Amino acid sequence: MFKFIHAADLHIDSPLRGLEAYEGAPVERFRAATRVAFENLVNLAIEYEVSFVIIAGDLFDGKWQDMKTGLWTANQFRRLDRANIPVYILRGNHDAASKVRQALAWPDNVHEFSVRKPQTFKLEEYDVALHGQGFAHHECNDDIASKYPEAVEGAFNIGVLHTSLTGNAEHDTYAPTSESMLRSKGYDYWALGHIHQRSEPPIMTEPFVAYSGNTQGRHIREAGPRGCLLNTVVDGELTATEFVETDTLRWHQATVELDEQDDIANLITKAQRHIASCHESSAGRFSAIRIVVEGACAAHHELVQTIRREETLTELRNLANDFDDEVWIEKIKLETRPPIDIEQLRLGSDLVAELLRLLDEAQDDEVRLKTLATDLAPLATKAGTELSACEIDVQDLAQLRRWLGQAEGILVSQLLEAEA
Amino acid sequence: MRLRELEVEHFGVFSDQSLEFDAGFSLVFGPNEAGKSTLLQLIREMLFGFKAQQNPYVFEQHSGEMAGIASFDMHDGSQLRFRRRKGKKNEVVGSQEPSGREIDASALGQLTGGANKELYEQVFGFSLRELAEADDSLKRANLTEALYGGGLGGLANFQKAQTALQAEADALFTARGSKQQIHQLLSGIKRHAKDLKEATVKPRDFEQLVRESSGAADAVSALRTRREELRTRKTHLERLAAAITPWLRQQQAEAELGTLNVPDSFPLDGGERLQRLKVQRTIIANELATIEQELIEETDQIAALTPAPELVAREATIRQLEQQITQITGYRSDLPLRQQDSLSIKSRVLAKLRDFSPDWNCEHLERFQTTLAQRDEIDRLESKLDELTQRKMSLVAGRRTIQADISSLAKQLAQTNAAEESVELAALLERATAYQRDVDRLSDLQDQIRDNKAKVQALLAKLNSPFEASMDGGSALSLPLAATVVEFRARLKKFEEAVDEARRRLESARQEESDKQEQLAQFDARVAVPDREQLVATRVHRDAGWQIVRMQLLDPKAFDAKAVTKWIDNPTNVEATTGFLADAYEEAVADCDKLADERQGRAEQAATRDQLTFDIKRLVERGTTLEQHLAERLEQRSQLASEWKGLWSHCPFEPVSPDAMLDWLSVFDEFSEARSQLQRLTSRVDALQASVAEFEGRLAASFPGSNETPTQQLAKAKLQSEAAREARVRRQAYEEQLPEKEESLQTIDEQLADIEQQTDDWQIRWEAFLDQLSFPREWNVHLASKILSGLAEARNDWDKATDLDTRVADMESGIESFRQSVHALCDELVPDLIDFVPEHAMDELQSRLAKAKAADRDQHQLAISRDKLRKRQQSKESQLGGIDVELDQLFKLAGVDGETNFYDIASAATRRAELIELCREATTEINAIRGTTDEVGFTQELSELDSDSVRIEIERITEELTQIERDYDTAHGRATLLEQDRKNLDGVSRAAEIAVDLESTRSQLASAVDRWAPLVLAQSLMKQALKKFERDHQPAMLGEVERLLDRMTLGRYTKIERKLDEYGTLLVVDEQGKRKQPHQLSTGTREQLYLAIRLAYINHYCNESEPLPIVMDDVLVNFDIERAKQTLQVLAEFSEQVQIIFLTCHQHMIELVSDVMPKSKPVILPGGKLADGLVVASRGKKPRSTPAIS
Repeated sequence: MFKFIHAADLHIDSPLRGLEAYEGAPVERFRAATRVAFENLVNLAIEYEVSFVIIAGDLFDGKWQDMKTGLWTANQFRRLDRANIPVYILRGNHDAASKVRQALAWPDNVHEFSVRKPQTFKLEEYDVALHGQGFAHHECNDDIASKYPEAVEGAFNIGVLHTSLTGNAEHDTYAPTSESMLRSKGYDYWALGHIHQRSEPPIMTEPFVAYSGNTQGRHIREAGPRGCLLNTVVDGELTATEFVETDTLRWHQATVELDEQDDIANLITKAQRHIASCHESSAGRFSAIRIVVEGACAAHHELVQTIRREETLTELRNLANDFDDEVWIEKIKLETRPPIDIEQLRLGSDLVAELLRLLDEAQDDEVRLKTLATDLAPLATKAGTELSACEIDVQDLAQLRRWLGQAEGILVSQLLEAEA
Repeated sequence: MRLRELEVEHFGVFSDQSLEFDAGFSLVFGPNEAGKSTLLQLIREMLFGFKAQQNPYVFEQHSGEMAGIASFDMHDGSQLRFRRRKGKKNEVVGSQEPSGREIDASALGQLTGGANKELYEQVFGFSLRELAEADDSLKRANLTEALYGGGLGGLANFQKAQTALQAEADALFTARGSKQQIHQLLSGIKRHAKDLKEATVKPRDFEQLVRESSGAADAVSALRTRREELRTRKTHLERLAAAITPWLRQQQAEAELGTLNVPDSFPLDGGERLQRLKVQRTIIANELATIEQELIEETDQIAALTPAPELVAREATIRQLEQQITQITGYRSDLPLRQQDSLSIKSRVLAKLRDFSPDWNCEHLERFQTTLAQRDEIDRLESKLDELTQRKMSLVAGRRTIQADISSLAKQLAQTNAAEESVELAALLERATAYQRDVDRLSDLQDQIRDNKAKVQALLAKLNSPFEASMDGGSALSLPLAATVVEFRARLKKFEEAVDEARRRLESARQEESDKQEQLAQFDARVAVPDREQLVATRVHRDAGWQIVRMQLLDPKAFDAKAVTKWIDNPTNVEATTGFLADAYEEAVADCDKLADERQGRAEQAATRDQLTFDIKRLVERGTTLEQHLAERLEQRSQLASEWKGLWSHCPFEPVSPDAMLDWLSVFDEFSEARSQLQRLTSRVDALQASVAEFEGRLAASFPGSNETPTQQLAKAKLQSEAAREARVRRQAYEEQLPEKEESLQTIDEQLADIEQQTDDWQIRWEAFLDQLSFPREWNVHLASKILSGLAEARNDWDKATDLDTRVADMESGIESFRQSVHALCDELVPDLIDFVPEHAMDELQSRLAKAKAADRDQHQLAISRDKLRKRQQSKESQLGGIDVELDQLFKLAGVDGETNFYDIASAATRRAELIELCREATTEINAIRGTTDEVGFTQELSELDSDSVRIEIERITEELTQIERDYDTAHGRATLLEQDRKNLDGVSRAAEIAVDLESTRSQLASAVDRWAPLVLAQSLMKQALKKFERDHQPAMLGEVERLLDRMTLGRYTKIERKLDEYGTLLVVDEQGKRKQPHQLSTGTREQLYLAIRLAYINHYCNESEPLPIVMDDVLVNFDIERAKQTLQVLAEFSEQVQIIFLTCHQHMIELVSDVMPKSKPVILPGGKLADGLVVASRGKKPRSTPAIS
């Protein structure tokens, strides 16, 4: 019997994204999140006395060039070395370009799959054969898996692969391959990397094919538990696969839905409840919570006023204080709408109705949207690079539509609030 | 809505005024101060409420309420009439017909389409000033907004919102800004990115670092090795150099040692020892001589001493006796004193005993001896008896007091008679206050009744005698209401006035007719002009003749002679011939011509006459009409008069004029009121009188036979009642006290009995006590106590005397015993003292003892001292022997037999010892210097050493070492730094921290952009919407303005455009297509333009809401006649849609208006005087009808 850990996409030291550093924010808590997650992984390996650890790509970020990260990581591998635990690493798309990786000399227990051709490591002690090939370049559109060798007879065969499989809308395509290709190899276990979302349930169980997901969520779209797979093999048979959480910071999106009568005070109360429940589900971890406030509500009129909105934002952020620096309000999105029947307004014959109709037309008309977007051009000119770093594209239609929606709320409030 | 009639009760200069307006265009003429602006204000306030505070139109001279009644024709054809007053409640009361809907302020608000005073002021009421300030007022009146296309949705809000959005967006980002949030975030990002780049340890750098670090470490290691070598060599050389001196010293000492010849056994300190032994020997020999001398001296001293051992043997006895001397001396002085004291006490005791009883002696002292218990008992008995006696006395005194109280109470009780309180009086007294009040009120009421009766009489006198008879039962009288009478008054007056008017007009018509008749008569008398009728009749006759002639000529057969006869006046000529007919016709023609010629010749006179005749005829007709009119009026008046009488039909009298009847009614009301008041008072008085009488009757019954007044009786009753109450209270108190006292008495008696009992008990105890002590029974307790205490005292004294006797005896025996002892001692030891007084003998003996003892002690000490000396003598002698032996041994060791050779040997031995020490020290020093170096090799090296070359080598090595140390430090520092750098690489990544900050700033940027973008889009949309809205809505309004201006300027300006700037500047296009801005136009044209805009806007407004009357104040004064006429023409047309009330103070406007609108009748304000001198209305009176001129 032996145990092994399957992990991937650690992206050590790549920063968590989307966090707004407001005053008093516990910045230190998440600076080291990816490191702590890796430490947790190492602790886990030592605690369970696993026989080996597989990292299926993207240990580092390609763009990340700080050697300290690599040295720190090597130290963690040394801890495993002291516990006589070998590590098998595969270079992923990010690792391929990682200069950090290239400049590092790994401790003796770290074995890296070749990037030129599939390589097999045999662990005689456990009768295990590990097959894999890393990425030589940032891009890889070949079906690497197809070149993997046939299973070693009588051994527990593990394929290690960094792949987007047949494709995923949120990820670029890397080392594409098919499930049938994987099955055809006759392996017992496919340790996949690249997709940050753990496959739950596994992609298939005969053979067992799964993404372990990343060890630490790095932005709001990576909400929920993150960790690695702890597997048990008895007599050459995979008998148990356990997902073990390694993350130290957990992302949550709390959508606060407001009703028509809800004012700011209600908003705060509801948000407070949401935060508490999110944090509870973090199970003692640090929580990064995005609050999205929605709904046609009385609070909207106040939120349109700059000062009142700032006050509310501060008040919402202060809610985190109830949790002794255990909660971070990542971002607050106020997407409320006025408690007014906009459809009714749209039917009118006045200027406001005209405005709303125009807005509606623009929502449906790409040309008009693009025309409207020209007013945003000065910003794009001034800060195009930075905007794309923030994943903002002023030409993006979906983005523009969303902004238009917000503009509607602002306009209705401004125009009708002044009238009231 | 169109204002048709305005009845002003009080408002500014207006008071009881009525004004009527045309449904279309009304010209209101009034000079300055006539109240034009007041009228404007009034119309405004009628519609939207009187200004509540500091209304300048409240004139002090008007006592009446600020109010008015307005009648409007509404757009939908209904009529609205309401009264508005200044106040907070029910300020508007009225109705809308035909629906009959009641109108209050809010309903009026609805009818005016939610317009308010400001809007009305800005849009519907304007003067030249507003036109002149058109730009400003346009803005105030939201006309700009209207031009943008309708005020709905609020352009002001729109612009405000635009400004707000712009401000917020600009605070976030502007294209050229640098301080805005987004700019700051961007620069923050740049800064962070730069920091990140700097903080990042790149792999290349790292490799370089690793290389450098290990190179530096190698260099350090090499230097360290070389340094160690040099250091070792240097240390070695230095040791050698240091070791040379001691080594040479050692070599020298060893050489000298070899030359010395001393026996090995010879002690190193031999010389010293010899010297020392010799000194010791001399000292001891001296000491021995001294000791022998001392021994001789002491033996002599002992021989000189004389001891007395027998005295010393009896020392104890002597000491004992000596101690007694003081005591014996005391005895000898005290003895006689004590004997005397004893005697004195005894005689005193005996005297005391004799005091108790003459035959009592000291034996009785023993007989009456008592125990302590018995003493206590008698004390207790004594005090008990005292206590009992005391208590008894106090109780007896208390009892006496209470007895006195009881008898006093009983006496008082007997004196306090039981005065009965009357129940009836009490009841009366309870009501006394009410009674008094009733009496007072009765008096008041009677006064009031008196006054009231006088008033009723006075009022009755006012009601005229015809009614007087029926007045007493007048309550049933059915009278018309005052309001009805007022109404009748008004109607009667109106009819009266109508009759008067009709009559006046008839008279005037008649007068005119007769004037005309007279003129005609005068005319006829003066001028004879053929009558027009005459001419016509002649022409008819001629034409008829022509017909007959024509008939005769055309168809002679059909000739009708009758017709000829008829035509010719003279019937006799019927048979006349045709020739006659022709003649007659010709004559007729001639007549006709003649008349015509005649009239032609006097055409002017003829016309005048015709006119007069026509006038007369018309006047006659008019007279008839007016007569009829008068008759109708009279008929109406008499109908009303009979109605008036009918109104009073239920009254037993005929009514006189309504004014008189109104006065009468008011007197009658007053009278009725007074009478009913009188009735009420009377009934109240009756009730009060009955109550008072009843009370007084009961009061009198309580005092039968008394002829006092009720007040006196009441006072008496009060006194009686109070006395009775006091007595009752007192008696009650006595009755309560008496039993208490008796009870106390009983208690005291019980206590007395108890004391008696205790006294008896005590007596028994006392007698028992006497028996116990066998005291005579006749002794009372006090005596017994006294005797017992006296006896105890005497016994004490007696005991003292006895003690003294004993002491005297003891002293005498003591003195005797002492004397014997001394005698015996002297006899034994010193018989020479036997005859001395014992005390003196003892003194002498004592001194002799002291001497004997001293001698004894000296002898003993000398013996001890002699023994010690002898022992020392022996010891010294043996020491001397030892030293001699030692000396012999010493010589033997040196192998000499004498002192002389001994000293040579001893000095050689000393030198040898020194050299050996020198060698040892040098070896130790060399060893210390040598350290761990191999000894053999080191010694070898030392033996071969050249000290100069060593020194040179050391210098060289030192130099090299200094250089290497320096190099090493440098290399080590560098290696340490590099190593540190490397170690740092394992620590926290600063780059990772900065990356977080960078991400955070990016996130903030995203948020800011997320806020900014919708704001920009919103603004963009607003601009678009505005443009579109303008496009869609503008032409209608502008078209209307165009049309109006075109009309007003007779086609000089044909087109209006608006610049599409944010102010919407207007442009006027003239016939030639030239565009002008308003300020480029002449004043008049500009005013026309703004008037047109305003009218267009009003038109626009009225499409949505109820049209309100437009009030213009002299807006045409700057126009020339033609322009004014054209403008009036436009206004006339416009007034078909919206009522226009045009105020002016210029008389020529009346003419202009009548030119353009002949049907229009100007409204002349009070005081408005037209040129022909006709004053149309005057202040303070309601005009009879709307003044008008034609």
